[in-house]
Amino acid sequence: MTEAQQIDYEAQGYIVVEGGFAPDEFRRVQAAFDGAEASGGLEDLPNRDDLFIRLAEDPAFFPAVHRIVGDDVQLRSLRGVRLTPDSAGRGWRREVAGLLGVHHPASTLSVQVFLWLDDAPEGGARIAVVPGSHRFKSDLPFPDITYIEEMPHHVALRARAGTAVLLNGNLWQARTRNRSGAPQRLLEYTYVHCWMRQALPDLSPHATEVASSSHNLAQLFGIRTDRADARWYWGRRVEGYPPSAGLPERRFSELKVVGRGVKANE
Amino acid sequence: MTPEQARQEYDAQGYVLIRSALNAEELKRVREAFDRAATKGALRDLVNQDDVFVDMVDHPALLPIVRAVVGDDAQLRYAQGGIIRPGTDSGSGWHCDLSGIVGVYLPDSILMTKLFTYLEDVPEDGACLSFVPGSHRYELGHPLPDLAVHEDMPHHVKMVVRSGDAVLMNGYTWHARFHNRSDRPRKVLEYSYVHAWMKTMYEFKDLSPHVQELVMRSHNRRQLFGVPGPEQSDWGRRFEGCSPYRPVEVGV
Repeated sequence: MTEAQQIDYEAQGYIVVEGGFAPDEFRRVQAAFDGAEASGGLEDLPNRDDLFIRLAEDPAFFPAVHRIVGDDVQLRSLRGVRLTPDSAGRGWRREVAGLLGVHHPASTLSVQVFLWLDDAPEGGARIAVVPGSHRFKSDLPFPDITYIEEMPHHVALRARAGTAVLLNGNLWQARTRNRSGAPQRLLEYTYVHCWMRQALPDLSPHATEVASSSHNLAQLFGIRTDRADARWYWGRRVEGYPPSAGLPERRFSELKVVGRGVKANE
Repeated sequence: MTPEQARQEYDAQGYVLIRSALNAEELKRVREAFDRAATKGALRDLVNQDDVFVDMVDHPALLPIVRAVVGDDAQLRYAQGGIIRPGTDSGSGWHCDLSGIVGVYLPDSILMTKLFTYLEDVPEDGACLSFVPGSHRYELGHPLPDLAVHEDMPHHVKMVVRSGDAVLMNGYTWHARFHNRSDRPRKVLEYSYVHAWMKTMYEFKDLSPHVQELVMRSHNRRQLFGVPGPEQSDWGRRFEGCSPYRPVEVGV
């Protein structure tokens, strides 16, 4: 993640990543999507093709996800969506609105990655956002609007095949109706922290084996490590990336425990 | 103490002391079960040892306070017991349980809370749990003072408690457990509560069939023990009697 992207994300609550895939790789993703769809498996992607497991750590977008969420990043869910012509949009919402206990405007509980597999046709569906709204107070009500496009100050994000859109889970977001005559394919990967619950399908033995093939994939898919090691709950860390405590960037004290010394009896 | 009063105290100080949470009869039952579990070396597997430890998860004097503090999506993270032997230097230094957590602005959040229920009196020189009041509001990264012994921490408050008392602590509050200089053991139940959207530290399938049956009896217990609810995502679970969470969406 470049410094410019980092500043952009901090200010706007989203970034758009283009051109991260080699043509051959991207064609394989498209073909895997079609294969999964043909077998009715768009909600069961990890069990349909190993590619969807490995895509969770794809260099096209994962380094940015890791920088934003932090070293304890984990996958919450992934699914595929086909937006047929005239398919409905999704209204304005905050993905993390139901999560109690957290001051969301200053926290980052989740990052969604929307990966478009087709060029957006004229009038096609788009991800729409209100830039900067990830810092809005949680109790700020949505305006009473009828149509998605009526949201003040929103931006409908242009996308080509291979564009990855990364959203802070607290950002005001929507997806517009597909008013084109062409279908659009979309992959949605949602990332959270390792101590949060996941909403993945049960992994087959084969998918479990693939996800266990590397330290990072095992963490992303929540494959259990040694439960006797207390670090499995709060302390899982991906390897091979510059350390990240997530965004916004904060400083932490070097002192973790003090005062265990013994005072002499008087 | 009402749940609202407890919440106010907790919000202000980062902990709340609940006097006489257990009555004499409950205390006797819990003590006996605790001692049996301790004899078996099973204090880390508490809920499988006796029904009373399941009952403690939603104890009528304590759960309303947990709920007022954590919220309507409260869930048990773990339950365990602990004994600190008399005359031991087994204190834990001053620390904050959540100091390594990233992603959450902790001074304005309640991510994890611990409930300590005391089965024996803890005198002034016992293994007192101690707090720095208000430290749960310190800015992230606020440094601990570089001190050598527990007693040097400025402004600390010791929890000198009687058997049957309980203490609820924010996981972001600076705290320590002092060395046990007294002649009596410190016996305590430690139940950690988080939100339903967080993981638990046990698997439901690891609970005995009998305990699973106890848990499955009510909506609230199923939520407290993290039993998946097919009708509701874990991001929207709520206790019975609350308005079910419905995501707000505007615009078509």
